Amino acid sequence: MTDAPQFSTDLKVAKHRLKHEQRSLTIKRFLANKLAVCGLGLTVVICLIALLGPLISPHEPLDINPIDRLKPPSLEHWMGTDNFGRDIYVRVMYGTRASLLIGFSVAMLSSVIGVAIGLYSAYFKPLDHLLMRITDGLMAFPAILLAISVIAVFGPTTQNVILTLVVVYTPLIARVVRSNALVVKEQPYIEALHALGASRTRIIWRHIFPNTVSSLIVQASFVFAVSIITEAMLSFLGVGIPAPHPSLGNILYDGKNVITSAWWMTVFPGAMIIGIVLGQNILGDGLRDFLDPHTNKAVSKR
Amino acid sequence: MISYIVKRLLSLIPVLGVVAVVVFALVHLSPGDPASVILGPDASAADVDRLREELGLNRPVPQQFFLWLGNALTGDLGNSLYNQTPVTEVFLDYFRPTLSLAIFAQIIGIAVALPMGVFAALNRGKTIDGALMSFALVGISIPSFLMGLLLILFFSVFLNWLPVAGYAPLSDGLLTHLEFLLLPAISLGFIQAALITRITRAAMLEVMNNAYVKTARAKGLSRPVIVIKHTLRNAFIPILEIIGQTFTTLIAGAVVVEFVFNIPGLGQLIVNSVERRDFPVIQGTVLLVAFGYVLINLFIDLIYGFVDPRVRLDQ
Amino acid sequence: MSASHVIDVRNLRTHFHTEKGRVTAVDDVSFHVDRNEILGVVGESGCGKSVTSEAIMQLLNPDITDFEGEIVFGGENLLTLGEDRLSRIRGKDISMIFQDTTSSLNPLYTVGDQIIEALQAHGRVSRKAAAEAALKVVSATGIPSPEKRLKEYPHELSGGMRQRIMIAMALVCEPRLLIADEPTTALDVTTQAQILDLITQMKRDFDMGVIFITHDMGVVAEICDRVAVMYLGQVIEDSTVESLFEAPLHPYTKGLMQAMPTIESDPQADLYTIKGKVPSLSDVPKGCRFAARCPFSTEKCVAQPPTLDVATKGHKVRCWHWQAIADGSACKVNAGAEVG
Repeated sequence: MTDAPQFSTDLKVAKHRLKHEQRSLTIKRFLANKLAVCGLGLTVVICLIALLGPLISPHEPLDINPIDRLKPPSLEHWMGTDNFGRDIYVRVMYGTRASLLIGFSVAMLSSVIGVAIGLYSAYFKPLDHLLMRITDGLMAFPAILLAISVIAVFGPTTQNVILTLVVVYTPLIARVVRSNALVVKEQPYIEALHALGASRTRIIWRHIFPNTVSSLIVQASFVFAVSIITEAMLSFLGVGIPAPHPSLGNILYDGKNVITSAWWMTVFPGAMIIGIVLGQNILGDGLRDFLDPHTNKAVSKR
Repeated sequence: MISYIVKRLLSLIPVLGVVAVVVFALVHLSPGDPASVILGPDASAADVDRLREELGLNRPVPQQFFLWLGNALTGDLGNSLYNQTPVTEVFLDYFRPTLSLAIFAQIIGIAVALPMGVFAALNRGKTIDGALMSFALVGISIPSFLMGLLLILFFSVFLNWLPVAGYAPLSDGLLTHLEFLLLPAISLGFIQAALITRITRAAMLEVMNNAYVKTARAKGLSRPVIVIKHTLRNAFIPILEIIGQTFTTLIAGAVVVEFVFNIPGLGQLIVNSVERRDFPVIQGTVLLVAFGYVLINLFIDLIYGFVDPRVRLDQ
Repeated sequence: MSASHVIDVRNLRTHFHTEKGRVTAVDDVSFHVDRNEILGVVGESGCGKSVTSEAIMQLLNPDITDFEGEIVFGGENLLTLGEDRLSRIRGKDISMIFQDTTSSLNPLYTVGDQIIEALQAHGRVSRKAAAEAALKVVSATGIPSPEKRLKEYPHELSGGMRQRIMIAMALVCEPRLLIADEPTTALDVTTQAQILDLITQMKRDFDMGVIFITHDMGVVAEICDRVAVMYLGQVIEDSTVESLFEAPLHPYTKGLMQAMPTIESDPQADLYTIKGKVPSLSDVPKGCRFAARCPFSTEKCVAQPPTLDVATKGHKVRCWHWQAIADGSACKVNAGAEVG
């Protein structure tokens, strides 16, 4: 009895150590997952390039230089110039920044909203019917058509692009979170928490939410990738990021008109898009393997 | 089966309701007055008033909605502000090439993906599986319009093979039609194929774990029968589901791919309509495409019921 | 001698290649089955009984499995046959039924289709003739209103009916050997008894050999003619049912029997349990595999693996001290083993 406080501090220390060990084990397991590491690596590299890349070039994205129109890649212009004589390298860098910003904002915002919708509709049955019918309806719209119409009405600004994509992609997050939460909700320990008198908010956020995080991350990385693609499409159609400002999509649009003479205007921004999306897709696949212990690997004897 | 169909039809009502509200809200909840949005900032006050009257904008919003909905249900989506033709007519004119392209691309996608996915699943863990799956992973990372640009660059510019861009309607003969559609369809079909390959492989692996596949082997059935009848057919249900869900991405892709290849389809219609501020056309196009998505998924659910007796016979 | 056996498994070894290295799931297993005979293969889960049966059917993934030894069936060694020949034997000469009736039938086809398919896989039979044969064999399993059942899908049937359908499907080609892998484990007791009766009756009617895999000694006593008890990939006792139940020789078998409640057991007393747990296949003991759990184990047991020796006529056992144990002269080194 007398050493009860001693015992409880021991327990705390042990608990702390266990947590620590568990974390380092998780990190080790993550690093052992080649796919996830590659995808994350590729994404980080592209982010660094987009951040630091413009610093090492003397050119500015909006500098027009009519003498140097449509010049192929050279020491002066590493990725060539466009039909206004603007430096493609710097424009691609700024365009990548814009894409990443949009992808990141959409993934974050739709995750926050999607998680709330998913969790609460899993928990409250009547709300579920209402919210799920709404998400069903929203999923019927091709993102790009809805985005075009919204932009046609509200005007082509980066903000409007982000907001529309959030509207279209939030259902994707909400559905995944909801289906996970529905499973967790039926677990006996949640019932036990009810019996102990835990508040709903506590149960939802402290006990159900953590169990949905893994699939949320996978889905968010998917939303990141599709938002970047959709933004590129919008700008390519001329209804995304407004004209003089560079985006990967509108560089491609300028390049389309001169595709027979200036391949560099298509290849470089195109490669950048593929790089970003590929990084996200690899990361997503890796995360799925990492988070799903059921994928047992067959070993071949040869 | 009949009760299943009825149930599916009833479940469409809320979805279509949401679609209608969103499309209606697009124009009617815009900041400022729809009439001045439609006419642009340079319009005179008299013009705006006339349009307000014409569009019924002076009535309360719910009434406007039901009026619009009622018209929409009878197929009247208003007239194009640009050339006064009914929106449905304009839509159908421009929809044909898009539909051709989408179907052609989907056929290419499925034709390539099913064998690849099945083959990869059957050779799970081997080099060929790894190669196919890496290929598919890269495939889903190349947006279709970019694929189109790269294909143009490669085939038309470097090899000088096919027409770079343009379109010939079906009435010019099927072959000419398909010749012009070939590159666009490959661009669009490529990502579709990559996606379906991944799904097919995953679904096959899932089914192969089932005891009934072991039973089929224990019965001494031949390998093709086991693979096709007892694995692929069961795996077909999730594959179908993905085909339905990706309908919107397919149409979205088609819209942009058309723009790449200068095909006069929905892509061109919508881009032009945005430039012309032709809101009824934009609104109608979005509504009809969303409606198409709902119909396709209804159709797929019905096939689903046909394929899987558990769905058909429940309740 | 062996020519008269339906199947003769000789020194079968099965190795799996896993992430943790090579694992030998079945180690030097030999047994045979004759016509009109049921051989029970008994053991805990993971003892290699199911692997043995799937090795006979050659259902294991060849990419990760290696075999040694022989499985002689109809004068051929099944381990050396190609996939073509095997698929002609499977379902025709050797059939198999499984434990899990829910997922062992394909949900997308009627049960009739699935039986007809088995028939048509092994000979050019018209669909009509096949349907008649299917109806006949399904009627023989005692399912009420068989015509109606044949047109139904698996999910419309109960577990017991599905198992009858599985049996009908397995027997429709009149095989010489039936492998039943825990066919009654998932069923309730009444249905279990009916299915056991059905298998016994079918064995007699078709004059076939049956390998009946189970972990239930009670079921063994009820239907089997001979028994092979398996432990950690090896046969440790092989005997006729009478001899085994009269005098089990291996300490493990004794333990299994004592662990089985009987009508005479005292409801107040704790049921006997074998202490310890089955060692992992990736870490097999050097000597006798049961030594660590055995109340009679000696240094010899730990050091040297025992061989499967003939104890009495038709009764083999893999134990160094069976004689001493039977005499009662062996002392329990591991005192308290029975309590644990």
